[in-house]
Amino acid sequence: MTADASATDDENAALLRFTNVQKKFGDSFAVRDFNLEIGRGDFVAIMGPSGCGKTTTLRMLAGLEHPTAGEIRRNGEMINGLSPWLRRMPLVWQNYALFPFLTVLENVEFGLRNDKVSKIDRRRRASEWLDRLGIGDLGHRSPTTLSGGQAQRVALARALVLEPEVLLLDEPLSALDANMVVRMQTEIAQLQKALGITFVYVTHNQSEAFAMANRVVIMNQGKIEQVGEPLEVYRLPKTRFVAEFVGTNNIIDGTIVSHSPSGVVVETKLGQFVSTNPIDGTLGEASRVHIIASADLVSVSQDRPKDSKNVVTARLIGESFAGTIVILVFEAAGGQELKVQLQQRALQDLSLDPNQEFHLVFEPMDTLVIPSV
Amino acid sequence: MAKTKLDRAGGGALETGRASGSASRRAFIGVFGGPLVFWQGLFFVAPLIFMFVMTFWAVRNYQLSADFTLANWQAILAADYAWDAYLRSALGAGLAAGIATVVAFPCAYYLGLKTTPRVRILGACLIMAPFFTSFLVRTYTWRTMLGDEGVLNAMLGWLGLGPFQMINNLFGSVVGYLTLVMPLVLLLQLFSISGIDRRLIEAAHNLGCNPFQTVFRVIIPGARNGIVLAATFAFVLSFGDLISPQVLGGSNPPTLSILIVDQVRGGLQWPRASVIAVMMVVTLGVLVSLAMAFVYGGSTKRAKRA
Amino acid sequence: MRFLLRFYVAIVFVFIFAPIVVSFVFSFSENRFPTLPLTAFSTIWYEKVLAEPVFLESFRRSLIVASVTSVLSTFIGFGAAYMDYRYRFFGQKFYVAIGMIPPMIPVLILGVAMLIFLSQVGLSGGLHSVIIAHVVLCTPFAMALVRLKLSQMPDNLEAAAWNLGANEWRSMRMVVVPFCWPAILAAIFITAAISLDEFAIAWFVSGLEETLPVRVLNLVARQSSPSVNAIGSFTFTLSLTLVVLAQVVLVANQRRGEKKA
Repeated sequence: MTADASATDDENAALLRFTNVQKKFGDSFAVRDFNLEIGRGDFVAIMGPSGCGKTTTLRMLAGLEHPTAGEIRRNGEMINGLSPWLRRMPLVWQNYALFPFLTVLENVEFGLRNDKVSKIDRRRRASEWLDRLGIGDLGHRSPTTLSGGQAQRVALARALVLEPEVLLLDEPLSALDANMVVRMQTEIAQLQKALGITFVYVTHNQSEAFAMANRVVIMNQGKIEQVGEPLEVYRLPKTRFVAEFVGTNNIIDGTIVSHSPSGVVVETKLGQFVSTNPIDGTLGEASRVHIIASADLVSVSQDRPKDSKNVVTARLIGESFAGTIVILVFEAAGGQELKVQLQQRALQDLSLDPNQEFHLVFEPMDTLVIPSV
Repeated sequence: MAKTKLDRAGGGALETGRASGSASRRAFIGVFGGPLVFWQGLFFVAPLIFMFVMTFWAVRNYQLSADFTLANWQAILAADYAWDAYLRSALGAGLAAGIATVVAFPCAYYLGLKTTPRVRILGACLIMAPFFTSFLVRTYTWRTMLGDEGVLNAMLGWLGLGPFQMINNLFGSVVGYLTLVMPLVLLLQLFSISGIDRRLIEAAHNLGCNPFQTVFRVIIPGARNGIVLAATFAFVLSFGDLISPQVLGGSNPPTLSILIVDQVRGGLQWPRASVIAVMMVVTLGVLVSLAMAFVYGGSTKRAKRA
Repeated sequence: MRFLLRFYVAIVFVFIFAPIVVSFVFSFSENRFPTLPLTAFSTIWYEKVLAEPVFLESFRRSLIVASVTSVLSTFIGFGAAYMDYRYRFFGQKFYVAIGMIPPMIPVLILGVAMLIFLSQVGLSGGLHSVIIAHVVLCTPFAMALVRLKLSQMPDNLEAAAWNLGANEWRSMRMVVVPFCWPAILAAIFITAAISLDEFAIAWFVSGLEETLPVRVLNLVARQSSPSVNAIGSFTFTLSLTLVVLAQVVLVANQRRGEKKA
């Protein structure tokens, strides 16, 4: 896996650079073959299921873990073994990790005290940050009495008061309730824009990542699966794992039959599919591939469309409502499950009876072909 | 969750500071971890080892001299009075452990399960109070109370009973041992009974166990480890206690603890005192290992079965 | 049924508290021997104790031993508990064992072993010998108290301090010690109380520098003296004061946290 193409080769351009980083705990790899460049002002979200190595990666940046192989460089300088207290890369913790025996204000001053900033000065700077995050009136409270959202703001203030180049965030919103998450997402994204510093944000939640980040790193089993802009990763997953993890995708196994100017033809157990999306040039005929089609780009009709390609007939076996969105689950030949995501409103045109047959249309331009590994 | 633990335990924390100079890190570990090794090594482990070495030393003309002789061992192991004392100590300690366990259990049961949390905490605090009173003074008071002219015999006399001899015999010693161990046994039993999952008890009631059956089928098995541990502690404490047999037991015939004191006081017989002390340590070591094997072995077996 | 059980519990508590209460009551009785009925209220035994310089001297020694012991054993216990909490290392079980085992060995045997060893290395027969031995005995209690508190320390709290620029020494001072402070205070008071009350080891190693409980032991071994009751009541009050103080500190600490709310 190579670093993403947008980064230049100039070493100084990358604020942070991982080269072949590996971390082993005992015999098992937490992170391996990790190559990534993070530029100044980036908002990078590292995303993946639990145990994928994303938190270990973040802890390596903070100096709480040290790579067993490879290099981590900041501004070109190797920081592999540098002690955490010398890094100035404050971390916003999942459980906030506020000091319970200090007041909110004292918590925010903590880092400045280590910098030997004068008492008056650090009090002023800490108060300014509390005000800026809208919790100026909480300064004398004990952190144990705060709500989740308030505690998270204190944690942010405590980190940002140090005016760091890089802010690390480890699932900072996972303990908040849904309303608060949306509010904090907006605030964090605005904060990052206003400050112009680099945020490295670890999460298992894709909506958080896509809502805030300008680059997304998808990890699985210690390795990077894909790096890119949120929409790119969402629309053009490069691996089966990413297709399964991000969004709601239909995945159909198949074999390439032919390349033609009108697209690639893939033979599957559901019939032939044509894809007009550009594919990995190394995929020749007879290559084993997956067809990927996002559930929100598949259309459903009760009557068989006349001249459409990529039509599959399937039986409705279930539906799940999630607010304004409905996901219909179909079963096609050979037990293949297919999902279609529709707006609630679109449903009114369809009469939905269980076990009824429908025709699902996969537009060639919305149908991806990725290699099967 | 397990992952976080691994991080901290598995070396994440250990590795920090590698670059900032391992000298500072070594100093840090030395300052906080070193004192225990130094102090307990020098003043706990070394004395115990040295006491064992001392059993092979000789006493000549009231002077200790380094030697390798088995004479002390032979003298003690061949002496009937030593074995009598051994059995007397074991009997007294066994009685104390047994009585304390049986007597304390209903109390712990009541405080642990049959009362409000407020009363339970008050009870636990009361039980802890004796730890902060002088055991010496308490045994002394027992002596004045249990003596022929004491308060207890006076009260029994009003009822037309007695007087009974309650001190300077095994009864007196056991009262002393119980004074020493009762609070601890009660507290340990209370902890383990309070730790039983209440749903199990409710389930037992639900399945038709009456209170007695519940005690024997759920509570005693559930608190088994605590009960065994408490009884073991009671034995260890009583076995080594010097005060009860001396103040309340009349010190004659002697227990092992009194023998030790006699050997030390009566003319530098430190090697022989050491022999007796080593015998006691070995006895208690075997007993504690057996108890631990019972407690931990039993729980792994149960876990395997589960 | 429930009544019977309550009655039974009451009897057991009577057994536990009888000697404490009786000793306290008779310390104020004029009569030389504790008999019924009680004679007139009197503080004669307290006056007697206070009039004897031997007692005051031994009490002074006990105070010295207890204060040095409590500070030393709390420091050692704290460090050991922290090592056990923070690191995973070879021989850790052994490390914890030498920290925890001393109270499981009868004090009599500890006393003999200490006497033999300390006199061999020329350290026996003084207050320093008692301090040495009491630190061995008290450290485990301090270690257990602090270890318990450390196990309640949130994951990452220390890492958060490093992350904000505090090195290990600073984070120890600014995070670990403040977090454990209630346990540290409790350890200081409780180890002091244990040391104040310990007589067996002290009897073996103190030589001519009798501490208060050793003085009492020698009294009790010889004859009946109601002074024992007076001393007992006095030391009980002192120990209890220490423990209550520890409690008050703990509660005040909690209150302070709550008041910030």
